[in-house]
Amino acid sequence: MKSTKQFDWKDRVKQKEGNLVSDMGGEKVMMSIQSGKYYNLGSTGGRIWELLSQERTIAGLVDVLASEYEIDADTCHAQVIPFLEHMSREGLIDVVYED
Amino acid sequence: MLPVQYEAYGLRWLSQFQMPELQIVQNSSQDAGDIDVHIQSADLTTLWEAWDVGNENFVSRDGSLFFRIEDAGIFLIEQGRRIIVNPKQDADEKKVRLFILGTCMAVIMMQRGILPLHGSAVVIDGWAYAFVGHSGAGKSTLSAALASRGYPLLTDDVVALTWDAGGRAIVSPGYPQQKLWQPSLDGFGMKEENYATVHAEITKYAIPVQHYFHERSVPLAGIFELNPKPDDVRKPIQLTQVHGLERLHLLCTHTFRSTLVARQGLAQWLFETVSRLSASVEIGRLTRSGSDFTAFEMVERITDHVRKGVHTEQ
Repeated sequence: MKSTKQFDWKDRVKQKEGNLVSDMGGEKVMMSIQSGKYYNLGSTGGRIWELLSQERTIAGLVDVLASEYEIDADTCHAQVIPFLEHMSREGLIDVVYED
Repeated sequence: MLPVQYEAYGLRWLSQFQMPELQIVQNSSQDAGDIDVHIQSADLTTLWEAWDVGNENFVSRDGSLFFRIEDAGIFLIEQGRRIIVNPKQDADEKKVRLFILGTCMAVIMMQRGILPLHGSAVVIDGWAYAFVGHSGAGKSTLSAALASRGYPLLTDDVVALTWDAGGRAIVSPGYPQQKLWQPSLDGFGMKEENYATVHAEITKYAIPVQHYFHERSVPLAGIFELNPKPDDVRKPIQLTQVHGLERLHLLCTHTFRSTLVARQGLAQWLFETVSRLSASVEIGRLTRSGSDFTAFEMVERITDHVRKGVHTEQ
Protein backbone atom coordinates (compact mmCIF):
# COMPACT_ATOMS: atom_id res chain seq x y z
CA MET A 1 0.00 0.00 0.00
CA LYS A 2 2.96 2.31 0.29
CA SER A 3 3.76 2.23 -3.40
CA THR A 4 1.78 5.41 -4.18
CA LYS A 5 3.13 7.32 -1.21
CA GLN A 6 3.35 10.99 -2.15
CA PHE A 7 4.26 12.66 1.09
CA ASP A 8 7.51 12.33 2.90
CA TRP A 9 7.75 12.76 6.68
CA LYS A 10 9.79 15.89 6.06
CA ASP A 11 7.29 17.55 3.68
CA ARG A 12 5.62 20.61 5.10
CA VAL A 13 1.88 21.33 5.03
CA LYS A 14 -0.22 24.37 5.84
CA GLN A 15 -3.79 25.63 5.49
CA LYS A 16 -4.55 27.44 2.30
CA GLU A 17 -6.27 30.82 2.59
CA GLY A 18 -9.62 31.57 1.06
CA ASN A 19 -11.95 29.19 2.85
CA LEU A 20 -14.80 29.85 5.22
CA VAL A 21 -14.52 27.70 8.31
CA SER A 22 -17.04 27.07 11.04
CA ASP A 23 -18.32 24.59 13.57
CA MET A 24 -21.55 22.63 13.03
CA GLY A 25 -22.55 20.63 16.08
CA GLY A 26 -18.93 19.78 16.99
CA GLU A 27 -17.74 19.09 13.45
CA LYS A 28 -15.52 21.40 11.44
CA VAL A 29 -17.25 22.51 8.24
CA MET A 30 -15.72 24.50 5.43
CA MET A 31 -16.67 26.21 2.24
CA SER A 32 -14.25 27.08 -0.52
CA ILE A 33 -14.96 30.62 -1.70
CA GLN A 34 -13.34 29.81 -5.01
CA SER A 35 -15.29 26.67 -5.92
CA GLY A 36 -18.38 27.11 -3.72
CA LYS A 37 -17.86 23.50 -2.52
CA TYR A 38 -18.71 22.50 1.04
CA TYR A 39 -16.65 20.14 3.21
CA ASN A 40 -17.18 18.42 6.52
CA LEU A 41 -13.84 17.60 8.13
CA GLY A 42 -15.44 15.98 11.17
CA SER A 43 -13.98 16.49 14.62
CA THR A 44 -10.55 14.85 14.10
CA GLY A 45 -10.21 16.46 10.68
CA GLY A 46 -11.11 19.72 12.34
CA ARG A 47 -8.27 19.28 14.83
CA ILE A 48 -5.86 18.58 11.97
CA TRP A 49 -7.07 21.72 10.23
CA GLU A 50 -6.45 23.76 13.38
CA LEU A 51 -2.94 22.37 13.69
CA LEU A 52 -2.26 23.37 10.10
CA SER A 53 -2.91 27.04 10.83
CA GLN A 54 0.87 27.11 11.10
CA GLU A 55 3.17 25.31 8.70
CA ARG A 56 4.32 21.92 10.03
CA THR A 57 6.23 18.95 8.77
CA ILE A 58 4.17 15.80 8.46
CA ALA A 59 6.37 14.28 11.15
CA GLY A 60 5.57 17.19 13.45
CA LEU A 61 1.85 16.91 12.76
CA VAL A 62 1.86 13.15 13.37
CA ASP A 63 3.73 13.71 16.65
CA VAL A 64 1.06 16.01 18.01
CA LEU A 65 -1.85 13.86 16.81
CA ALA A 66 -0.32 10.59 18.05
CA SER A 67 0.02 12.02 21.53
CA GLU A 68 -3.39 13.71 21.57
CA TYR A 69 -5.24 10.64 20.29
CA GLU A 70 -3.01 8.12 22.11
CA ILE A 71 -2.08 6.02 19.10
CA ASP A 72 1.31 5.01 17.75
CA ALA A 73 2.98 7.20 15.16
CA ASP A 74 2.85 4.66 12.32
CA THR A 75 -0.89 4.05 12.67
CA CYS A 76 -1.47 7.78 12.90
CA HIS A 77 0.68 8.43 9.85
CA ALA A 78 -1.19 5.80 7.83
CA GLN A 79 -4.49 7.50 8.64
CA VAL A 80 -3.37 11.07 8.24
CA ILE A 81 -1.73 10.74 4.83
CA PRO A 82 -4.89 9.87 2.84
CA PHE A 83 -6.67 12.74 4.57
CA LEU A 84 -3.90 15.18 3.65
CA GLU A 85 -3.84 13.86 0.08
CA HIS A 86 -7.54 14.48 -0.16
CA MET A 87 -7.22 18.00 1.25
CA SER A 88 -4.39 18.70 -1.15
CA ARG A 89 -6.41 17.45 -4.16
CA GLU A 90 -9.27 19.71 -3.12
CA GLY A 91 -6.89 22.66 -2.87
CA LEU A 92 -7.48 23.18 0.84
CA ILE A 93 -3.85 22.89 1.94
CA ASP A 94 -0.46 23.88 0.55
CA VAL A 95 2.27 21.27 0.48
CA VAL A 96 5.96 22.13 0.33
CA TYR A 97 7.85 19.03 -0.81
CA GLU A 98 11.24 18.49 0.71
CA ASP A 99 13.58 17.64 -2.15
CA MET B 1 -43.57 66.22 7.90
CA LEU B 2 -42.66 64.68 11.26
CA PRO B 3 -40.78 61.41 11.22
CA VAL B 4 -42.80 58.38 12.34
CA GLN B 5 -41.68 55.51 14.58
CA TYR B 6 -42.27 52.04 13.18
CA GLU B 7 -41.59 48.51 14.41
CA ALA B 8 -40.39 45.66 12.19
CA TYR B 9 -37.93 42.75 12.43
CA GLY B 10 -37.42 43.36 16.15
CA LEU B 11 -36.09 46.88 15.50
CA ARG B 12 -37.49 50.37 15.95
CA TRP B 13 -37.26 52.56 12.84
CA LEU B 14 -37.68 56.36 12.80
CA SER B 15 -38.60 57.30 9.25
CA GLN B 16 -39.00 60.53 7.35
CA PHE B 17 -40.81 58.49 4.70
CA GLN B 18 -44.37 57.38 5.31
CA MET B 19 -44.36 53.58 5.29
CA PRO B 20 -48.00 52.45 5.27
CA GLU B 21 -46.92 48.78 5.21
CA LEU B 22 -45.27 49.00 8.63
CA GLN B 23 -46.67 48.92 12.17
CA ILE B 24 -46.63 52.34 13.83
CA VAL B 25 -45.27 52.25 17.38
CA GLN B 26 -48.21 53.08 19.65
CA ASN B 27 -46.37 54.52 22.64
CA SER B 28 -43.69 56.26 20.66
CA SER B 29 -40.75 57.01 22.86
CA GLN B 30 -39.19 60.46 23.12
CA ASP B 31 -35.88 58.88 24.04
CA ALA B 32 -33.65 58.89 20.96
CA GLY B 33 -31.74 55.95 22.45
CA ASP B 34 -34.73 53.68 21.79
CA ILE B 35 -34.45 54.20 18.05
CA ASP B 36 -32.43 51.48 16.32
CA VAL B 37 -32.45 52.76 12.75
CA HIS B 38 -33.05 56.17 11.16
CA ILE B 39 -34.53 56.38 7.66
CA GLN B 40 -33.81 59.77 6.13
CA SER B 41 -34.02 61.65 2.88
CA ALA B 42 -30.96 63.53 1.59
CA ASP B 43 -29.21 64.53 -1.59
CA LEU B 44 -26.55 61.85 -2.10
CA THR B 45 -25.37 62.71 -5.60
CA THR B 46 -22.17 64.45 -4.49
CA LEU B 47 -21.28 61.60 -2.14
CA TRP B 48 -22.00 58.99 -4.82
CA GLU B 49 -19.62 60.81 -7.16
CA ALA B 50 -17.03 61.08 -4.39
CA TRP B 51 -17.11 57.29 -3.93
CA ASP B 52 -16.16 57.10 -7.62
CA VAL B 53 -17.34 53.55 -8.24
CA GLY B 54 -17.32 53.45 -12.02
CA ASN B 55 -20.01 51.18 -13.41
CA GLU B 56 -20.76 49.41 -10.14
CA ASN B 57 -24.31 49.74 -8.82
CA PHE B 58 -23.60 48.21 -5.39
CA VAL B 59 -20.52 49.26 -3.41
CA SER B 60 -19.42 48.55 0.14
CA ARG B 61 -16.90 50.46 2.23
CA ASP B 62 -16.14 50.47 5.97
CA GLY B 63 -19.36 48.87 7.15
CA SER B 64 -21.61 50.82 4.80
CA LEU B 65 -23.30 49.86 1.55
CA PHE B 66 -24.19 52.29 -1.21
CA PHE B 67 -26.37 51.39 -4.21
CA ARG B 68 -28.05 52.94 -7.18
CA ILE B 69 -31.23 51.80 -8.94
CA GLU B 70 -31.91 53.28 -12.35
CA ASP B 71 -35.50 54.49 -11.92
CA ALA B 72 -35.70 54.62 -8.11
CA GLY B 73 -32.71 56.52 -6.74
CA ILE B 74 -29.57 56.18 -4.60
CA PHE B 75 -29.55 54.43 -1.24
CA LEU B 76 -26.89 54.45 1.51
CA ILE B 77 -27.06 52.02 4.42
CA GLU B 78 -24.65 52.97 7.19
CA GLN B 79 -23.30 50.83 10.03
CA GLY B 80 -26.61 49.12 10.76
CA ARG B 81 -27.99 52.42 12.04
CA ARG B 82 -29.07 54.62 9.16
CA ILE B 83 -30.74 54.38 5.74
CA ILE B 84 -30.34 57.50 3.62
CA VAL B 85 -32.48 57.68 0.50
CA ASN B 86 -32.16 60.03 -2.41
CA PRO B 87 -35.20 59.23 -4.56
CA LYS B 88 -34.86 59.99 -8.20
CA GLN B 89 -37.05 62.86 -9.33
CA ASP B 90 -40.52 61.55 -10.30
CA ALA B 91 -39.68 58.09 -8.95
CA ASP B 92 -42.72 56.02 -8.02
CA GLU B 93 -42.97 56.16 -4.20
CA LYS B 94 -44.11 52.54 -4.09
CA LYS B 95 -41.02 51.47 -5.96
CA VAL B 96 -38.74 53.47 -3.64
CA ARG B 97 -40.45 51.85 -0.64
CA LEU B 98 -39.94 48.38 -2.11
CA PHE B 99 -36.18 49.00 -1.93
CA ILE B 100 -36.36 50.44 1.58
CA LEU B 101 -38.49 47.53 2.84
CA GLY B 102 -36.48 44.90 0.98
CA THR B 103 -32.81 45.46 0.20
CA CYS B 104 -32.16 48.35 2.63
CA MET B 105 -33.74 46.66 5.65
CA ALA B 106 -32.00 43.36 4.84
CA VAL B 107 -28.63 45.13 4.65
CA ILE B 108 -29.32 46.80 8.02
CA MET B 109 -29.95 43.29 9.41
CA MET B 110 -26.69 41.92 7.97
CA GLN B 111 -24.77 44.87 9.41
CA ARG B 112 -26.34 44.19 12.82
CA GLY B 113 -25.72 40.43 12.75
CA ILE B 114 -29.38 39.50 12.16
CA LEU B 115 -29.72 36.73 9.57
CA PRO B 116 -32.31 37.61 6.87
CA LEU B 117 -33.69 34.52 5.16
CA HIS B 118 -35.83 34.82 2.04
CA GLY B 119 -39.13 33.36 3.14
CA SER B 120 -42.27 33.50 5.25
CA ALA B 121 -42.86 32.32 8.80
CA VAL B 122 -45.92 31.31 10.80
CA VAL B 123 -46.56 30.27 14.40
CA ILE B 124 -47.73 26.72 15.13
CA ASP B 125 -48.26 25.71 18.77
CA GLY B 126 -45.96 28.44 20.04
CA TRP B 127 -43.10 27.73 17.64
CA ALA B 128 -42.07 29.51 14.46
CA TYR B 129 -41.80 27.57 11.20
CA ALA B 130 -40.11 29.25 8.26
CA PHE B 131 -40.70 28.48 4.57
CA VAL B 132 -37.92 29.41 2.21
CA GLY B 133 -37.62 29.01 -1.52
CA HIS B 134 -37.05 30.76 -4.78
CA SER B 135 -39.38 33.44 -6.09
CA GLY B 136 -42.69 31.84 -7.02
CA ALA B 137 -42.06 28.69 -4.95
CA GLY B 138 -45.22 29.33 -2.92
CA LYS B 139 -43.89 30.72 0.37
CA SER B 140 -46.48 33.46 0.77
CA THR B 141 -49.31 31.27 -0.47
CA LEU B 142 -48.48 28.52 2.00
CA SER B 143 -48.21 30.93 4.93
CA ALA B 144 -51.52 32.55 3.90
CA ALA B 145 -53.15 29.10 3.84
CA LEU B 146 -51.72 28.32 7.29
CA ALA B 147 -52.92 31.70 8.58
CA SER B 148 -56.43 31.04 7.28
CA ARG B 149 -56.39 27.82 9.34
CA GLY B 150 -55.53 29.77 12.50
CA TYR B 151 -51.72 29.75 12.48
CA PRO B 152 -50.72 33.42 12.65
CA LEU B 153 -48.26 35.00 10.25
CA LEU B 154 -44.99 36.28 11.67
CA THR B 155 -43.45 37.59 8.50
CA ASP B 156 -43.67 37.46 4.73
CA ASP B 157 -40.69 37.71 2.36
CA VAL B 158 -37.92 38.26 4.95
CA VAL B 159 -37.41 36.09 8.06
CA ALA B 160 -35.24 37.96 10.60
CA LEU B 161 -33.29 35.56 12.86
CA THR B 162 -31.45 36.36 16.06
CA TRP B 163 -30.38 34.27 19.08
CA ASP B 164 -31.60 34.45 22.65
CA ALA B 165 -29.38 34.16 25.72
CA GLY B 166 -29.75 30.37 25.66
CA GLY B 167 -28.60 30.15 22.05
CA ARG B 168 -32.05 29.44 20.57
CA ALA B 169 -32.87 30.90 17.17
CA ILE B 170 -35.66 33.51 17.40
CA VAL B 171 -37.85 34.91 14.62
CA SER B 172 -38.91 38.55 15.01
CA PRO B 173 -42.20 39.75 13.51
CA GLY B 174 -41.94 41.50 10.14
CA TYR B 175 -44.96 43.61 9.21
CA PRO B 176 -48.61 42.79 8.53
CA GLN B 177 -48.69 42.59 4.77
CA GLN B 178 -48.53 39.70 2.35
CA LYS B 179 -47.78 39.68 -1.33
CA LEU B 180 -49.77 37.14 -3.31
CA TRP B 181 -49.88 36.27 -6.98
CA GLN B 182 -53.13 36.09 -8.96
CA PRO B 183 -53.42 32.26 -8.91
CA SER B 184 -53.20 32.31 -5.11
CA LEU B 185 -55.95 34.92 -4.84
CA ASP B 186 -58.04 32.65 -7.08
CA GLY B 187 -57.20 29.65 -4.90
CA PHE B 188 -58.34 31.50 -1.79
CA GLY B 189 -61.42 32.94 -3.52
CA MET B 190 -60.15 36.51 -3.04
CA LYS B 191 -61.09 39.35 -5.41
CA GLU B 192 -58.15 41.20 -6.92
CA GLU B 193 -60.07 44.47 -7.29
CA ASN B 194 -59.97 44.75 -3.49
CA TYR B 195 -56.17 44.96 -3.39
CA ALA B 196 -53.41 47.24 -4.61
CA THR B 197 -50.79 45.79 -6.92
CA VAL B 198 -47.19 45.73 -5.84
CA HIS B 199 -45.23 48.02 -8.13
CA ALA B 200 -43.90 46.48 -11.34
CA GLU B 201 -45.41 43.14 -10.46
CA ILE B 202 -48.77 43.65 -12.00
CA THR B 203 -50.26 40.29 -11.05
CA LYS B 204 -48.95 40.38 -7.50
CA TYR B 205 -51.17 41.96 -4.85
CA ALA B 206 -50.45 43.51 -1.46
CA ILE B 207 -52.84 42.09 1.13
CA PRO B 208 -53.13 43.73 4.57
CA VAL B 209 -53.19 40.93 7.14
CA GLN B 210 -53.45 42.74 10.47
CA HIS B 211 -56.11 40.28 11.66
CA TYR B 212 -53.77 37.31 11.50
CA PHE B 213 -50.45 38.95 12.27
CA HIS B 214 -48.40 37.75 15.25
CA GLU B 215 -46.71 40.69 16.96
CA ARG B 216 -44.20 38.98 19.25
CA SER B 217 -40.94 37.11 18.69
CA VAL B 218 -41.12 33.32 18.70
CA PRO B 219 -38.40 30.62 18.89
CA LEU B 220 -37.75 28.82 15.61
CA ALA B 221 -38.44 25.09 15.38
CA GLY B 222 -37.95 24.37 11.70
CA ILE B 223 -37.12 25.62 8.24
CA PHE B 224 -38.67 24.03 5.15
CA GLU B 225 -37.55 24.66 1.61
CA LEU B 226 -40.42 24.70 -0.87
CA ASN B 227 -39.50 22.74 -3.93
CA PRO B 228 -42.23 22.92 -6.58
CA LYS B 229 -42.08 20.58 -9.59
CA PRO B 230 -44.96 21.82 -11.74
CA ASP B 231 -43.93 19.73 -14.74
CA ASP B 232 -44.01 16.42 -12.88
CA VAL B 233 -47.08 14.23 -12.67
CA ARG B 234 -49.16 15.16 -9.64
CA LYS B 235 -48.19 13.16 -6.54
CA PRO B 236 -48.87 13.61 -2.81
CA ILE B 237 -46.82 16.28 -1.01
CA GLN B 238 -43.42 14.90 0.05
CA LEU B 239 -41.63 16.03 3.19
CA THR B 240 -37.97 14.95 3.45
CA GLN B 241 -35.29 15.84 5.96
CA VAL B 242 -32.16 17.71 4.86
CA HIS B 243 -28.91 16.74 6.57
CA GLY B 244 -25.29 17.76 6.94
CA LEU B 245 -23.62 20.02 4.44
CA GLU B 246 -26.75 20.25 2.33
CA ARG B 247 -28.26 22.27 5.17
CA LEU B 248 -25.49 24.84 4.90
CA HIS B 249 -26.00 25.10 1.18
CA LEU B 250 -29.78 25.44 1.58
CA LEU B 251 -29.45 28.22 4.16
CA CYS B 252 -26.79 30.13 2.19
CA THR B 253 -28.90 29.84 -0.96
CA HIS B 254 -31.98 31.26 0.73
CA THR B 255 -30.29 34.13 2.54
CA PHE B 256 -32.02 37.31 1.36
CA ARG B 257 -29.76 39.28 -1.04
CA SER B 258 -26.90 36.88 -0.29
CA THR B 259 -24.58 38.52 -2.84
CA LEU B 260 -24.62 41.63 -0.64
CA VAL B 261 -23.30 39.55 2.27
CA ALA B 262 -20.07 38.73 0.46
CA ARG B 263 -19.82 42.24 -0.93
CA GLN B 264 -19.76 43.63 2.61
CA GLY B 265 -17.06 41.19 3.70
CA LEU B 266 -19.54 39.25 5.82
CA ALA B 267 -19.14 35.81 4.16
CA GLN B 268 -17.43 34.30 7.21
CA TRP B 269 -20.17 35.70 9.48
CA LEU B 270 -22.86 34.14 7.24
CA PHE B 271 -21.08 30.78 7.20
CA GLU B 272 -20.75 30.71 10.98
CA THR B 273 -24.36 31.80 11.37
CA VAL B 274 -25.80 29.13 9.08
CA SER B 275 -23.57 26.45 10.69
CA ARG B 276 -24.94 27.38 14.08
CA LEU B 277 -28.50 27.39 12.78
CA SER B 278 -27.99 24.04 11.02
CA ALA B 279 -27.07 22.41 14.30
CA SER B 280 -30.09 23.70 16.22
CA VAL B 281 -33.30 23.43 14.14
CA GLU B 282 -35.08 20.94 11.91
CA ILE B 283 -34.45 21.52 8.21
CA GLY B 284 -36.61 19.84 5.59
CA ARG B 285 -37.83 20.06 2.05
CA LEU B 286 -41.44 20.08 0.87
CA THR B 287 -41.92 18.85 -2.66
CA ARG B 288 -45.14 19.34 -4.56
CA SER B 289 -45.75 18.28 -8.13
CA GLY B 290 -48.29 19.22 -10.77
CA SER B 291 -49.88 22.62 -11.29
CA ASP B 292 -52.93 22.38 -8.99
CA PHE B 293 -53.47 24.72 -6.07
CA THR B 294 -52.17 22.47 -3.27
CA ALA B 295 -51.68 24.97 -0.43
CA PHE B 296 -54.27 23.33 1.83
CA GLU B 297 -52.86 19.86 1.24
CA MET B 298 -49.47 21.25 2.31
CA VAL B 299 -51.04 22.74 5.43
CA GLU B 300 -52.28 19.26 6.38
CA ARG B 301 -48.89 17.71 5.72
CA ILE B 302 -47.06 20.31 7.82
CA THR B 303 -49.43 20.36 10.76
CA ASP B 304 -49.48 16.54 10.84
CA HIS B 305 -45.71 16.53 10.89
CA VAL B 306 -45.45 19.19 13.60
CA ARG B 307 -47.99 17.39 15.79
CA LYS B 308 -46.07 14.12 15.45
CA GLY B 309 -42.99 15.90 16.70
CA VAL B 310 -44.90 17.08 19.75
CA HIS B 311 -45.99 13.53 20.58
CA THR B 312 -42.43 12.28 19.98
CA GLU B 313 -43.49 9.53 17.60
CA GLN B 314 -41.39 8.74 14.58
